[in-house]
Amino acid sequence: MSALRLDPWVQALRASIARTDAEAVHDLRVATRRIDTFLRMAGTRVLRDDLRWLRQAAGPARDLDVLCGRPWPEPTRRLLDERRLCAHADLAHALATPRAGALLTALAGVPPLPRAKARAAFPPMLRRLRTLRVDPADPEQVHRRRRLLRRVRYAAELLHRPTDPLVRLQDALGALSDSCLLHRALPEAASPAALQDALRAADAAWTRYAPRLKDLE
Amino acid sequence: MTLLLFRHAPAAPADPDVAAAAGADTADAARALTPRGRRRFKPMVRAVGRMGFRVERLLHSPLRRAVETAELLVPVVEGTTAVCAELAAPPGEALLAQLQGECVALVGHEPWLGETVRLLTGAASLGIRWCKGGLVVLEGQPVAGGMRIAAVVSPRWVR
Repeated sequence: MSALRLDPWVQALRASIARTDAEAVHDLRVATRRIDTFLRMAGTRVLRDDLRWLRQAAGPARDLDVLCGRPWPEPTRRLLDERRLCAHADLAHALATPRAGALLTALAGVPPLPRAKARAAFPPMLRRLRTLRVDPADPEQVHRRRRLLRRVRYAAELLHRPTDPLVRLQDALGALSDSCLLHRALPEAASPAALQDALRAADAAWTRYAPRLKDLE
Repeated sequence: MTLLLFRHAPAAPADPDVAAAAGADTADAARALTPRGRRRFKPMVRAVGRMGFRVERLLHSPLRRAVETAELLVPVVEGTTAVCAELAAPPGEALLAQLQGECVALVGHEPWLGETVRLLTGAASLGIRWCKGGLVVLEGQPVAGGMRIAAVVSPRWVR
């Protein structure tokens, strides 16, 4: 039985680094997360801190790309555009460092992951998601659930398992993430009522889809 | 600062097919540790733990044999790991600038590790043959000529 290979995601990361459009930043963050999931399933610790560094370097640029995609009054738009330019310049600086190049070299040497090992790693990840205790009124805790959910989804996709409940949950929790982003970046423009609505919707989605997660084992 | 410099554990030779298809550098970068190399290095990791070193930052070369050696060292790492391009090249200021903390470990290659020791200690010659999986411990300030050799540990001594 063939082993799972990291090459497609290393190529996706390399391609996203070579591009300069807004989607490239999103693709870069997704690729680093998928590679991180692969390494976790392989039981590897080394290189994951480097992936986190790269992802965090891209975080402000991605946040501002998302915020700039909304309609804003002119003064707010100018402010966001300026911040976005700075964030993209910081990201370009990080991508030009020897560390970024060395990370790509190192990732190219990661050996294939035996399918049996990947399969064995999946149930504990899923169980951790299902049993994670979360206060549905606490955005930070719900965000932690979302991160874990995303990791389980990438693991499921790596193993070609069904992802339907995971994708639906991730969509629901994504709306909350956007609301939290607005609260962090522009608190004066954020609506507390909208955040509460997003928290309620996320909890409702969890109540609806969580029972189906057991079927993925 | 205490600086632990590890030469990577024993690795397989470069695959001639990879060298023919992608070049000698790519084939060299892809060299993996041998099962025996892994076995030989594990007692070194245990010894480092017994000696009480708690690594705050582990820097390693991007070449596969160094990445895999760094992975074996993870049990003694209490902080972060980082891939370091400068460990696959002659040492210079860019490498020294990354040596921050109380206890830092490097995993790299000869002859550059030996040159790093000479740079940091000001010694003209190490006077030792640095075998694969071997450890040199330096203490002092991580600037040119600012450190001294505190210990040399061969993997043969810690089996």
